[in-house]
Amino acid sequence: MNLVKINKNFYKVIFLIFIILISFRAFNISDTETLYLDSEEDTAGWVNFYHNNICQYSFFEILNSYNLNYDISIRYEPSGSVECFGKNFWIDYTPEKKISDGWKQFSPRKFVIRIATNLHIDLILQSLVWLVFLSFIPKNQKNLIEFHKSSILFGVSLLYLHYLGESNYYSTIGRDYYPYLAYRDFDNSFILDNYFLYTYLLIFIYFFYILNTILTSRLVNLINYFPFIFCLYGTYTSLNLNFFVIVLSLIGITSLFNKKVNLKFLLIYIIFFSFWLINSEDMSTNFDVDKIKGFVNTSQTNISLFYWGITFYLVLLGVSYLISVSKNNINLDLITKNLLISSSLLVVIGVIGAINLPINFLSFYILGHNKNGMYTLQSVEGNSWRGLFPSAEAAGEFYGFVILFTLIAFITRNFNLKTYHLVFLLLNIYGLYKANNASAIITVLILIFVVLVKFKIVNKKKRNVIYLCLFILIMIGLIFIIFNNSFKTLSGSVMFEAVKASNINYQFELNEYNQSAVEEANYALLLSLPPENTNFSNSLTYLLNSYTYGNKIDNFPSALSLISSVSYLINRSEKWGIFIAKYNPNILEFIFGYGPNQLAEYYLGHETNYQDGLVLPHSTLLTFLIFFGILGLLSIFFLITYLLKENFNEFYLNILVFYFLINFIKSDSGLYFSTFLTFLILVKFTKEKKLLQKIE
Amino acid sequence: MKKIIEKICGTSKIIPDFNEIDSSPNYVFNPDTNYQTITLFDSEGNVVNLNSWLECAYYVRGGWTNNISDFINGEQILFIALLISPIIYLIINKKLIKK
Repeated sequence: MNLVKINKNFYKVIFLIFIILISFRAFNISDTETLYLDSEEDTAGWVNFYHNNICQYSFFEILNSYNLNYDISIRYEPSGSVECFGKNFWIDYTPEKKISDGWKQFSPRKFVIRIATNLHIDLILQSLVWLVFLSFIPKNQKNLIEFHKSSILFGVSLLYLHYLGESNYYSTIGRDYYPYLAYRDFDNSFILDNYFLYTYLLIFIYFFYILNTILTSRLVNLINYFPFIFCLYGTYTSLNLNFFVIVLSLIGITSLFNKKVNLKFLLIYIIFFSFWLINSEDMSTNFDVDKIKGFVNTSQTNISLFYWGITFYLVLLGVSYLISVSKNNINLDLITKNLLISSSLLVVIGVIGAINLPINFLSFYILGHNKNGMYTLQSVEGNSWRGLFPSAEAAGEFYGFVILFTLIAFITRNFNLKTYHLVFLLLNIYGLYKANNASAIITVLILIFVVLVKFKIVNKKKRNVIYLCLFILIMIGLIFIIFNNSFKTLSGSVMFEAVKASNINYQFELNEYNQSAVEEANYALLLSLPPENTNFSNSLTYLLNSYTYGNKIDNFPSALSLISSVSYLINRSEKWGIFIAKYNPNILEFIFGYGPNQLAEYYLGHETNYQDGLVLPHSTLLTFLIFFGILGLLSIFFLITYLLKENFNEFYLNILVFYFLINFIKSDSGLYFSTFLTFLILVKFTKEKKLLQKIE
Repeated sequence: MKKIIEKICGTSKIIPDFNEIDSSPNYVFNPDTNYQTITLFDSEGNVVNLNSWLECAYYVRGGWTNNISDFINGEQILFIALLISPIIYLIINKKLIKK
């Protein structure tokens, strides 16, 4: 029986590989000869050839058409047409340049090959791949969860809202036709020949139908396979959508139809939702979501806010419903194994992709990651090696989490650690080492020590003494670092960076060292200037006032100085300073936030010196402050504290939740759907008494 | 339309008045020596070389393009194929079940 199943899955994989290779025209025979691109003239000829013959050659044909060892990367171009899918779109060429301080040193020549993808083909192809992967999850015929028939209609309507709300983004990649063969600008209405829209909706009708069929018999087993979301990230190349967000939304819709809804939570959410809509300035922007694509709004329209507000709620509901229906099927050993496999696959594919260009190209597309995998095994421009992950920080956190999860499972539950598990663990350690995430390494080490003490030392008094010693040691270490630096510098570092990031428009008188009031940190003078000259955000004005004129207790640092000092020690002064310079909410926005997954207003609403490129707050807590305001952030904080306190004796899960909470202070990983989902699942697990008993 | 004109002809400060050109049968486009000649096609395979931005914009507006594949309405074909595919699936499935 098992053999038949393996064979079936094997054929599915072969079918998928074949479909993908066909789609990217891997079997096309090239009619161009291989060129040696040694001279600038040959290179210009080669580049021009592909510029003049757009949409003619596949990626594989281009790869065979040159012979050179230079920096080559591949990017997908989502504005391709259906017919152009997988073919050449453009080649960016940067000739070698003299390095500024070098006499005879040149930067290498760089090539970016842009391959066309298309919204509809991506939707079909990537959905097909991920649906087939979902079908690998074993069925459970005893617990069938029927999806309501209207869930398809509800789901498709929601995705139409998404399309309407983020029209600005889709219009940059959309194309449709005029009956007389001429182009017409993007249209999102139901006009007769708007096949762009109709095809989008039709694909989702089929998608939801197939998804319903697959999930009905697998829903109760789904939770055990959540670790694969890190490897199979599920972001569509051309759309601002994530496959797993849609899957969980559908489960959330089912929960709604089955009336499995917490009414208190729904009421609170509706209150927040109303304030988000009231505060919202309806603006059609196109915010470049870059590496957080699929889980953040690109626009500021009310419709898009409505879509993300509903979707976020459905995801929360979906996770809650998923765990409640799978209570008796949760298998922690299987989750541990799957975490190890998923993380190891990420390391292995990341390493192979760094060496092999076609694998890098295809793995990004098939796995649906937010950023191309790295093209080298070395760190680039000061950034650590991230492999397939969109950020090295999130990568390090994940590898650390897997190591912690596995070792805790081994220590507390006698998880049967086999040889191949050890190999997987080593791969994780390699991933963590390459990601160079110091905070993840330190947190993992401390938490493993805490767990070891808890389970190996039976005497409670002795245990508490050891914990106290550990706490004192950490404090001494921190004080030692602070005393090695000037407290004045540390305590004002965030303010200094925030002022530097602000778009100040004023002619300062310079001192003898050519320093202005900004460099001198003369905040009293800056605060006395007209607001239209300083362009300080509301939050910066408030904090500067508090820092300069606030009540102070002698020899006792203020909360602001303490946070600033900590930020300096964990290398966050600059990023948090930029956050303060940008964060410009009115009072209601500060209390209730801008809404879930809404960064556009925060990012584009107040002009600073950092308008280009995605500079994130580098703290999930600050991100949540943007989304849910201070009231939402405090509510989340008290809810989690309450859950941890309620289950204080259930040590195992608390440690894992704590690991994420510590890392969330200084990283954006909560913006990546995989990390957000894992955290949500862990928090929800702490509510399940039965599960906790099983673990302990 | 502006987007596609700029994509094919490039950007220009000229604000075209196509109605004026339409209403003057003897309108003559002045060649621009600084403009790199652009070749466009129509659906019947005719080719035209254009020597000014305004001329290029006018032709693009009339349905000419620089890319042969623009004459295929991929989304329409895909839409029809998607509509038909379940019917084909059902027919094949029925036949297989009968066998």
